[in-house]
Amino acid sequence: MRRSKIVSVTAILVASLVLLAACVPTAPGVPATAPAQPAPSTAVPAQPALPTTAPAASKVIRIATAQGCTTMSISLAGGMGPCEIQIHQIFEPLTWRTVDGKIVPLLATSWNMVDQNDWQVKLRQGVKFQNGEDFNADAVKFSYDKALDPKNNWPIRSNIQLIDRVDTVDNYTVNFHTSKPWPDFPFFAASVYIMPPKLTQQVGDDGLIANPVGTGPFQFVEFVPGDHLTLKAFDGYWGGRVKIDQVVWRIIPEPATRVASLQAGETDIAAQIPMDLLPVVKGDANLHVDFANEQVTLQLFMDTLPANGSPVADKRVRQAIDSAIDRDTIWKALMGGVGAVNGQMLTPGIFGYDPDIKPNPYDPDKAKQLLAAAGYPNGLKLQLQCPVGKYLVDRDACLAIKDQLAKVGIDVQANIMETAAWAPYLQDPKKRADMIYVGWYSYGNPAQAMQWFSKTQAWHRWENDQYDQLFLDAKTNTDDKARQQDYFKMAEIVKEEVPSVFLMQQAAPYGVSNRVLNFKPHPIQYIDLLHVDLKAPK
Amino acid sequence: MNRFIGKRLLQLPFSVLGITLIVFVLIRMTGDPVVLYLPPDATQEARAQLTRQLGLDQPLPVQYGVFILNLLHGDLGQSLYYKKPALDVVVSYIPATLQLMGTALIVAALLGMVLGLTCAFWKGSLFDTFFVTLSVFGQAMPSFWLGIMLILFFAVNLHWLPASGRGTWANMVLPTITLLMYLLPSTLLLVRSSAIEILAEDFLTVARAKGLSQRAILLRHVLKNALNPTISSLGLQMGSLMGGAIVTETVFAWPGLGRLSVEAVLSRDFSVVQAAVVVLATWVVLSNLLADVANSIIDPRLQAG
Repeated sequence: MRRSKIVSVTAILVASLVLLAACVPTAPGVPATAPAQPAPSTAVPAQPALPTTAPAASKVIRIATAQGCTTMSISLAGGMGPCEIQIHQIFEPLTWRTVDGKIVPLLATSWNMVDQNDWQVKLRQGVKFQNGEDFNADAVKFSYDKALDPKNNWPIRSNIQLIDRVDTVDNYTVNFHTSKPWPDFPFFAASVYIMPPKLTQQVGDDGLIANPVGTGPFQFVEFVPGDHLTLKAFDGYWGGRVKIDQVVWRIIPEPATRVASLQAGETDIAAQIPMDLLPVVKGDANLHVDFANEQVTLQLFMDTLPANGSPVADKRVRQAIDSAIDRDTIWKALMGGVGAVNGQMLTPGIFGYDPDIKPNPYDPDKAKQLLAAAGYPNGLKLQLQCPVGKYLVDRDACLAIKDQLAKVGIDVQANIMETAAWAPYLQDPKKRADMIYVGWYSYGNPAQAMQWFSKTQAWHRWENDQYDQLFLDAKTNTDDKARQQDYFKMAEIVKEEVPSVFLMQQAAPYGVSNRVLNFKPHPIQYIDLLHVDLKAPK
Repeated sequence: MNRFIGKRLLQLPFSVLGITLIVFVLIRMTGDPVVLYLPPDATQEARAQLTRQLGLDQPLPVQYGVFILNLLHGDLGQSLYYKKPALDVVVSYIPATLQLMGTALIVAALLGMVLGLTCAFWKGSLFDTFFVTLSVFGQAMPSFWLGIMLILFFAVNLHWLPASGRGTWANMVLPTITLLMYLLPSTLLLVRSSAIEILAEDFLTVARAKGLSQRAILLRHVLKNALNPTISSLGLQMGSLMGGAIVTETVFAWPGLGRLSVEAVLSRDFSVVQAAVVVLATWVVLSNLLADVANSIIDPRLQAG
C-alpha cells in the first residue's frame, strides 16, 4: 500500500519532469540555408544563435524593436506595419523612399507614363536573387500578380488595385496598365516587394516564408517568432556588399528593457524610445540619441458630420479649440526638442507643404469669444478619443489638451484607450467621436494624408465640395505645378474650416551605441543598414 | 480515486468552454481585426472581403457555433498574422513558457519547503524573521518593477547577466527570480505555518518521547504533513502564475505564451487568442487536478471528499 503511494507520487513527479525536459531547447537550430526545405508547421523555436557565438572578426549589429514580423511572409509587408522594417532588408521593391522623402530607383532604373493609363518601367540589369536566380521582368510580373490577386487579399492590394494588368515588354521592361491615370504609381511601387518566381513555384509560398530569398542586401539565416531574426550580408548584392556581416534583430516589447539592453551593451540600435527614457540614453556615455522628424502630423480630427450632432459641427467651436491650444508649451514639455510644432496636414519637405501656413497663435480670449458667439458662453462638454502607446506622445498630449481647453470652458472627457479599442472611432464615422487624437502619415505622398478630408475616403468626418474637387484634380493631374497649387488651396480651406486641429510633427527617436557609424533614421521608421558600419572593438 | 479523477476530467470541457465563451464575446466587443490588419486607406471592398474571409460578418452566436464545431475537430482556426494554424502558433510558444514556469515552480516548491521548515523549526530566530520579512516584501513588490530593477542592477550596472531574451541558462536567472519572488513567499509562509502547527501536535510529542531523532521527525512527519498545503497552494497559483508570466515575459522579452497572448489580444488576432485561452485554461484546470490527485495520494483521507 505504502509502496504503491510512493510509486504513484514518483510517477507524477517523473511525468512533470519529462514534460519540462521536453521544453528545454536541445540542439541549436540548424541554420536553414537549403531553400527547398519547408519548415515543419509545429516547429519548436530553436535555440537562438547568440551574437557571441559569431567569429570575433565579423561585424555583428544588434537591433531591438518593439515589434517585428510574426512570419517572414512578404504578404504582411506593404501596409507599413511592424513587419515591413524587417522584410525590406531581404526583399526589394522597384522604387524606394529616401530619408529626405524622395522616391528614387531601386530595382527599377526609370519609369515613364507612356500614356494616361500606362506606366512603363525599365528594370535594373544584372541583379540576382540570393539563390542565384535572375531578376527580370518575369519576376516583377509574378510578384505584382500575386499582390493583386483578390484571392490572396494582401493588405497592399487595396493600395495598388488601380493596376489592372501587368505586361512584360522585354526581359527588362514592364508595362503597368491602370484603370485610371495614376501619377502616384512610383510612390506605391515602393511597397510591393519582388520575389523569385522560379524558386517560389518550386518551393511554394510556405517554402519562401520558411526561407525567404530576395534581392536585398541581407540574406536570411534564422527566424524565431517573437524572439529574433538573424540575417547575414549578401555577397552578391547588386549595390555592393554592405559593411556589416550579420544582423541580429531582437524583439523587446518593453521600452525600459529595450533601453536597458542598449545600456548593457547587448544591442546597438534600439527603436521607439519613449520620451521619458530619452534622458537615460543621453546620460549614458556609450550611447547617443538619433531621431528623424517623421512624415506625420499629430492632430485632433473633428467630427463635423451633422448627423452625429457634435458641437464641433459648428465651425466656430473648432476655431475656438484651435485658438485655445498652446502648441508651443505642449511641444516643449512633451517632445522636448524633437519633432516640431505644425499647423497643417503635410510636413516640411513633402510636395504640397505650404511654408506660409503657420499654426494659429495661442489666444484663449479669442477662443472664449468664438465659443460665446457659437452659443456656448458657459462652456460645453466634449469627448476626446485618445490611443495610448500608438504615437510618440499620445496620452500625455491628450491630458495637456484637456487642461488647456478647460481654461476656456471646454470640459473634455479624455477617453484614453488601447489602440484596438480606439481604431473603431476612425473606422466608423457614424460613431460620434467629437475629437479623435490621430497622426495621419503621408509617407512622402501628399494625397496619402490629404485624403482624410475627402468624401472619397470612407472614414472622412468633414465634407467640402471645393476641397474634394481640388483633391481629385491633384490626384490625377499630371502637371506638377497645378498639383502643387491644388494642395496649397486645400491647405488654405482646411486652415479656415478646421476639420482638424493640427498640433505637432512627430519624431522617431532611436537609442544608438557609439560604435555604430553612419546610421540615419528614416522618416517612416525604416531601418536602413546599407551604409551602416561598426567601429572595431577596442 | 478513479471516479474522482473521471468526475474532474468531465468538468474540464465545461470550464474551458465557459472561459472561451467569455473571451470570445469580450474580444469581439472591443475591436475589429480588419481595421488593424488592413492599411487605413484600404477600400471598403477589401475590408468587406476580409471580414467575410474571417467569418466576422456572421451573427455572434453563429460565429461561436462554428468555433465550437471546429474545436471539436481540433481546428482552432488560422492565425491572421502568422499565416499558420493558430494551435501550431500557440504550441510553438509553449516550450519557452514551460521552461520558465517549470523552473520557477520546482525551485519555489523545494526552497519553500526547506526554508519554511527551517523557519518553523527555529521560530522567532533571526533566520525566521529575515525570511518572513523578505516574503512580505516579495509579495508586496510588483513583478514589473522588480524585473526592471533586477535588469538595471545585474545587467546594466554589474554586467553579470543578460538583460533580456532566451538563450543560455544565464538568460533564465533574472526572469526566474522575478517569478520566484511571486511564488516563493506564499509557499514559504504556508509551509512554515503548517509546520508550526504540526510541531505542536501531540503525536510529535509521542514521537519525541519514543526517542526519534529531530531529523526523522522533521523529514518523516512534519515535511510529509506540510506537503499537502504546499501542493495545493502551488496548484492554485498556476492561474495567477500565468498572469505573472505575462508580465515577466514582457519585461524580459521572453518569447513565451504569455507574451504571445498579449500581442494577439493587442492585434486582435482572434484565432490565436482563442487557441491560447483554450490551451491555458486546460493547463490551469489540469494542474489543479494534478495537485488534488497528488494530495489524495499523499493523504488518502482527502479521497473521501
